[in-house]
Amino acid sequence: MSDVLFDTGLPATGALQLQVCEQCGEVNYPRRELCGHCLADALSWRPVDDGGTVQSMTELQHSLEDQYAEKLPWRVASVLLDCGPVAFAHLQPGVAVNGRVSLRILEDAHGSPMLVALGDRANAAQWLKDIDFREDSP
Amino acid sequence: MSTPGSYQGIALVTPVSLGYARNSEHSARWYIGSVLRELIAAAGIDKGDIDGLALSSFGLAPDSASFLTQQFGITLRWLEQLPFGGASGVIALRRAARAVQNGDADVVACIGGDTAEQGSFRDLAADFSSFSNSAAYPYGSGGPNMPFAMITRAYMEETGASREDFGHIAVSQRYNAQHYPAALLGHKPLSMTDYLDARPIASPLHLFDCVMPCAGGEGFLLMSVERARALGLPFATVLAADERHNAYPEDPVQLRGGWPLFAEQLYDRAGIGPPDIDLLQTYDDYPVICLLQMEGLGFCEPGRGFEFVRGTDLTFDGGGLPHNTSGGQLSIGQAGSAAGYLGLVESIRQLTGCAGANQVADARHAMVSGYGMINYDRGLCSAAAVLARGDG
Repeated sequence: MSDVLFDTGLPATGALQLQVCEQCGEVNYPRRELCGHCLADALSWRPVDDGGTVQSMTELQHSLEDQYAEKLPWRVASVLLDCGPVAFAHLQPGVAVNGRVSLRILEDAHGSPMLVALGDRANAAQWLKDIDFREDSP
Repeated sequence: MSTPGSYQGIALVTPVSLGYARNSEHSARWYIGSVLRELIAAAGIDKGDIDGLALSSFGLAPDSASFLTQQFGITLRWLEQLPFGGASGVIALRRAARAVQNGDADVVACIGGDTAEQGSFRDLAADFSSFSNSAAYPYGSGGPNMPFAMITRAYMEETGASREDFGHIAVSQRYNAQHYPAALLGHKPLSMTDYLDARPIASPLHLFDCVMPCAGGEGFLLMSVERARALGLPFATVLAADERHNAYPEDPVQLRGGWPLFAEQLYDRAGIGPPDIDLLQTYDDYPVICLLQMEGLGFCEPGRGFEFVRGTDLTFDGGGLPHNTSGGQLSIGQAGSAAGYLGLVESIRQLTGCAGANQVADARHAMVSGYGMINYDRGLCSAAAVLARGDG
């Protein structure tokens, strides 16, 4: 088994942070070096509104990496964030398309910070344990 | 906005498809060079007559287009490398046609080629783009299946399309592939039951929604009609062509590509409309993308592609709209960047009457669509060309 430390570029775990442009205010994701709206070299990781709506989802039954292949099926959502960008995120069970989620940044078992979409914060702890993600303090 | 000028006087000749294999010990260079050799032989010209080359490959590294001129012993005055994935063929055609029209080259070889070996698809998916590497691949490492599962589910939720509608595309293409000997999956019949009962890959995608990566090469020569006639080569002409990159970036899920931005003007310039199209080649990395192309290119209303395919025979000899007449990638296999030339090369075969068992009767006009480059959550390149049978 080989495990991958994914270079997601996300900063510290916990509340959602994304790259915000200090010049025009655009929230940028996926990560980049210049603002995708005004092209300024003025991006900083800042806390942003973590709410979003699930646009679509999939349950992967096949993965190209061992660390997922061992844990299939694996749920991923496409989330339109209230602050603008579309983000893929690991999805808590029980959320349907058009359902509301909040995103947090949590580390997987190998230390990669990842976006996690939670539909039911009260019951998130058990799910995170099941998928071997490190739970943070809410 | 200005409009693209005419492609009058341009001829597409000598369609070549070769070397399709599930795995290959050969390199992408071998595929490109082999297509070049076959193009020269098919045209009956000397290697020195080729003075332009447009090529596409995901697997050239550490080489690039320039290095291949020394490998192949060719001296060129025009050279392009087109990294547009599934839109590469149509875009190569557009660039090469302008070069020939403007005297920058006389005979341009347009070639897509890639190889495949164990693990090479994983390596490509794991390091495909900076956006994908940081924000798509880490989420389950499904490769392209993940974003296309998202698009497929969103399309189904939005329109009411069913799996059977996608199945109609896959099953029809398999029938076409059974009449195209080079199709890697052509020997395996595919019924709707087979399609629906296939194992799940990334819901709602199942096995026969996904292409099989493979090795292969595709190419054609582009030259003046005058020269094609002098060489005695049957040819196709270009009535109109266009492309867009990163169209509708505000759409949260890609339920349309860039085609609606130019389709109407494309038909205006071509002087024909969708009912005049005798065969349609879409880029079929997943069946839902075929529907986006049918909708975007005016064969039906937006969001109604699933109804269109329910009511239209898509086989090469069914009397409806022959679609992906050699089986498409879904039945031939996806040979990397060669897949971006597959529909174009097949259209040239059809329009020059040399398609073989899958020949569409009296094929006069073809629409070839390209789609490519899944940087993150959607394909960024959309392209299309309307081709016509040359007058010989």
